Amino acid sequence: MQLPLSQLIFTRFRAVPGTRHVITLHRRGEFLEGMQEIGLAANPGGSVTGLQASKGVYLGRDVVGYTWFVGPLMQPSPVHFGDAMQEIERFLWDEIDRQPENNAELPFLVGAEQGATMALAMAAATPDLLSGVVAIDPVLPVVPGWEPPLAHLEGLPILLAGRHPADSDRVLSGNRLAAAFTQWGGNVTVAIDDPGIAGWTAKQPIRMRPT
Amino acid sequence: MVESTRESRLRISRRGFLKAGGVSAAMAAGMGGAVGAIPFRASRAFAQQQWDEEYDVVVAGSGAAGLVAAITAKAMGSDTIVLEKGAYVGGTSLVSGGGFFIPNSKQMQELGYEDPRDERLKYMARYSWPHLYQPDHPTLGLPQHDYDMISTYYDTAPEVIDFLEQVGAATFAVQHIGGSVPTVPNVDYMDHFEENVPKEAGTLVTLDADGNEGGGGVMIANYQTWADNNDMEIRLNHRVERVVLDDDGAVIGVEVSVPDSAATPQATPAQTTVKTFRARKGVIFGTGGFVKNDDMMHHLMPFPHLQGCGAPTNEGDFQRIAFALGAQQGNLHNVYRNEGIYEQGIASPSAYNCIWYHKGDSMLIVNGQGTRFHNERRNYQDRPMAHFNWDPNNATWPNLLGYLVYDQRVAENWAGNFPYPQLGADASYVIKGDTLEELGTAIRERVNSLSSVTVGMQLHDDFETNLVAEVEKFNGYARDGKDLDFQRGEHGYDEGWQSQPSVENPTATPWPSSDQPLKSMYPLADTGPYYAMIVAASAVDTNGGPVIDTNGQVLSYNGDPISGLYGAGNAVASPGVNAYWAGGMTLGNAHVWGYAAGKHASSKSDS
Repeated sequence: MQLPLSQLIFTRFRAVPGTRHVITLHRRGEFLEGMQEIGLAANPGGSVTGLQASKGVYLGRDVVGYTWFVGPLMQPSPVHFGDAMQEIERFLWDEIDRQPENNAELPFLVGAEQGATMALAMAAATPDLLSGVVAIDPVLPVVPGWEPPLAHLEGLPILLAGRHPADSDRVLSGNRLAAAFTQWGGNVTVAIDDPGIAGWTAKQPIRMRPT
Repeated sequence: MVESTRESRLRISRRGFLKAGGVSAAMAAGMGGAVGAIPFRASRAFAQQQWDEEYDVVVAGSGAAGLVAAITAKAMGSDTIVLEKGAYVGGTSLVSGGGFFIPNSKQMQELGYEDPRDERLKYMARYSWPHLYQPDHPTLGLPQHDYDMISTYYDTAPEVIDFLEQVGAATFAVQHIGGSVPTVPNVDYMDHFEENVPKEAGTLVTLDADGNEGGGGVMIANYQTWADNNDMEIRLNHRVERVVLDDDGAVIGVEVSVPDSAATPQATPAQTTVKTFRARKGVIFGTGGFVKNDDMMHHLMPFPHLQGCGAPTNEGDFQRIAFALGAQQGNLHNVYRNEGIYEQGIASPSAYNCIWYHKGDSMLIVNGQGTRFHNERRNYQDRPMAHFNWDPNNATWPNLLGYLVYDQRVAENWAGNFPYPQLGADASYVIKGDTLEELGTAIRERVNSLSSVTVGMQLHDDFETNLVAEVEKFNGYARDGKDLDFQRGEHGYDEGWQSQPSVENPTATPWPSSDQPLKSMYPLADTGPYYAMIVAASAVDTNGGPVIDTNGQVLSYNGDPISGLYGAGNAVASPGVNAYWAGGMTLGNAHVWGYAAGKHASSKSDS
């Protein structure tokens, strides 16, 4: 038996064979359930999987949620950021390996806040493992040790939705964020509010990858 | 080899992130970094005929030890700066539970607890030095220095809290056990010692803006806010590499490496600039231990701690600087321990979670022979020591890896409480079997599949058989209410912290919460499914290094303080040695000795 590469906790919120697959990435301090409603709305009738970060947020000795990285959204700890990216990449490969066909259907990432940052980072690092990305309240911080993109995005569909935090020299946000991903080869759509999410994935083509 | 081929597909490397995260490039390559001490005449400040910047007190590290030292010095009138090696403020403290051990606090007294000095010192002495402790001896059997240190801890701890409240750094309260019993104060870790009078309420926390008990994030945010409001700069990505000495050997400043620009995954070690900081009154290190320095851990630890949850920047910089100065070394073989999920630690070293305590009742942990080896409900400092029980016949640690075995009752009742996944969720590290025999076989297959598990860590031939027998014995103990092997549930701590079902899934508890004699033990179900996880002893951080005096000054081997050099928290030898007197021992040390160092340095005349 082939063991998965990823050690992340995950839940299949909805599993419908033959449909588009959305993987959600939660906000800081949330459990994976925090993205269930958004994930289901983003992919009506389709498969939705919730992924949970490994690093706990503690109150006393209790884990009260999880975080993708330590440090503020505008200034993540690079080491934790890198480990989180690596764990998500492992999970994407696991999802490919779970498909018996020779052509694996690639998922969409849907993230909010910290999860949006991670979704965008994965779009810039592993665009060939994704069908698209929905980033809610998106920012892409400057992360020392990492200089996106790692690959040309080849028209990867990207939806930037929700609030757009103020742009600064520490983060890409708003128009600069959209421009950057466009320049890197992404097919960027900007939506001002959440209704832009509903059904968006259904309009995007499913990208394939040989296993 | 199949696994390595699959891993080789990964594009994202840790290496660039490690370098940029304040972790030295040399460390990332597995070597030691260039840290130490130099005379002023050999320093960059001498060469350029001036210091780049001058302060009264320079503090290295922005965790609890560093920030408390800095707040104290600044509030007492010293011009103070904090230099943080990492890319964020807070170090290990930021991701901690946020509690700290403060005996005899005003806050515990207000709740009606008494914490008399004589008894508390006896408790501390007995827990830390069971082989020396004599209750009727003037120093309780301890060497004078050790007695002075625990006395100072008791006397100073409440003063620290009062001071921090007075200067407006934070508001404090007694920490309560979380989960479903928020009104019960923390139970001390050896509550059953007769010397322990209050038994509980020894742990304080900072409160957030709404008056709620906060974790480490709230504590650091409070202290960082104070720094912002009082013009005390915290500078990130500043790694103190060397202390600078005057002709008499006193520490008068530091040399600091600052990256010129962001490192990239493709780049070789980041280019850095050396900057010099004069410290007119003293340099205080609160830079943590060396849990993330593989070389030091390999050579200094008598036992293999498999992963740790300390900050990635805890590479032993201060320990090496102090040793280069001839500082006394102490407690280098000890750590603040924990347990964690072995496979998770291998996959994501920085995202590793510590298991502070094992929730659930129908659960047990067995070793590679399939037998229990400790009371699974003891505290996270003492419990993992059982992983290092030596087998003299086979020259190995048979308990090095533990196998946490549980049933559906625990999987549902404690769902979502780490490390148990939420209801309906899955994780690769959870091993499953419909019967105990199947579970045993699945555990063996998993162990054999892990290339990191060496010959000396593999399962015994009779593991599966022994596991079934051990569960049967455990179930008998649970029904009788008496754990004849490890006395699980006999003491307050065992049940006080760990028996509460999940509050994350309040409606998903179809099980009786407790219909057995002990809250901490429940027979495993007669039928499956059963589950297991591989657990190992890990380190929160090390707690050894230079020995300090009651003022937080680093001592040389002749017993005199090294002028101008201070340390606190996990950067120095813990005065408690191996003991964990109560919840928050680590942050307690950070507060007490950070305060002592800041106060003493601030009281000095300029050098």
